Amino acid sequence: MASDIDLDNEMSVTSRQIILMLSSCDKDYIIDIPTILINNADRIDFNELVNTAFEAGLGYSLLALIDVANKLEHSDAFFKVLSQQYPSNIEGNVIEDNIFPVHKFRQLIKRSFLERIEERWNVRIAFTFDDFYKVYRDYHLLPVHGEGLRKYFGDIIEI
Amino acid sequence: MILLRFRTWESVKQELGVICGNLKDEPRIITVGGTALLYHGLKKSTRDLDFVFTTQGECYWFAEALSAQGFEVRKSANVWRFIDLKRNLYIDISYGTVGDVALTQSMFARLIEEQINGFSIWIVSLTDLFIMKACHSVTTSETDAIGDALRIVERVDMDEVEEELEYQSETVREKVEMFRKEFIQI
Repeated sequence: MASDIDLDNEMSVTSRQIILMLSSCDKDYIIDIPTILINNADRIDFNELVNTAFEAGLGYSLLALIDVANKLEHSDAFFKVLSQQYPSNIEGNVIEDNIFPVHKFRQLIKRSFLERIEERWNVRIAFTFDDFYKVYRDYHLLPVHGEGLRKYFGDIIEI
Repeated sequence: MILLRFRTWESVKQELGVICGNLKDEPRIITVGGTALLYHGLKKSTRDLDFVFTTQGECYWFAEALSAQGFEVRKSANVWRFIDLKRNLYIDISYGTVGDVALTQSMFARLIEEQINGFSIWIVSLTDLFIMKACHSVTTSETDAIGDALRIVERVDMDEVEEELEYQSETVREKVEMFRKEFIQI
């Protein structure tokens, strides 16, 4: 459960924490995952992470989110794990928030902008690409590249 | 690193308490967005804190206090975003409006007051939060905002929403109507 996530130790991230976030069906956690993967790409053992996810029945959901992370910012670590897993795509899964089951999402939003990733991993995702991008922009792009971006855009940013 | 989140109203109050300690004047601090939803118990956590001020001057006083604490500012057309880069903490402030929604006298009458270190902090009502979130949902189609608005709508008096819409612009009225047609009649 999401409540098992070690909130007193938020500066570190473990495979278990990521899997707990993914299994929580809580938008506030799920939306963060691609950016957390990007911010920690050099520290995460992706083999361990993917194995843990498959043991929890969440393997393809995790791969879809790694794919989203790779779409936000290409990384060799993401590409490697996606390439290794891609041919064995056989099962399906759903990534959704408690308040946004996929069927409701399809009915209300009518588009997801993530169709190719959904097809690739046979996973249905109840979020838009913009939902993930907003977190990536705020919690990776600005903190990590803030000074560089400022040189080009000054203080004006898109919010 | 996992991203910083505020998970309780108490943690927001603690952060605000520190900021208020740096204030040289007393602006009317109005809490909106996810921060207000956290107060109302309709959101489990929020990543950034959102405040709006009646006037540009009050907004400036608050901005000065944030700058004194070392926050860096990034300005956009709608809000000034203050960032504590060490903690990944974001505070968005604006004045006069929240997106398309104007701050009105009737909205002020519904504000809820909280005391933090002798400062009054005002929290926007669920009626007004619904109007703000519904407009934002129609503008952006973010599932975040849509989910928030759907949670709020179960707890608001739609007659009060209708009354407030009388004081808002045609754009706001149209967007709230679009939200109701698109998302509520499932």
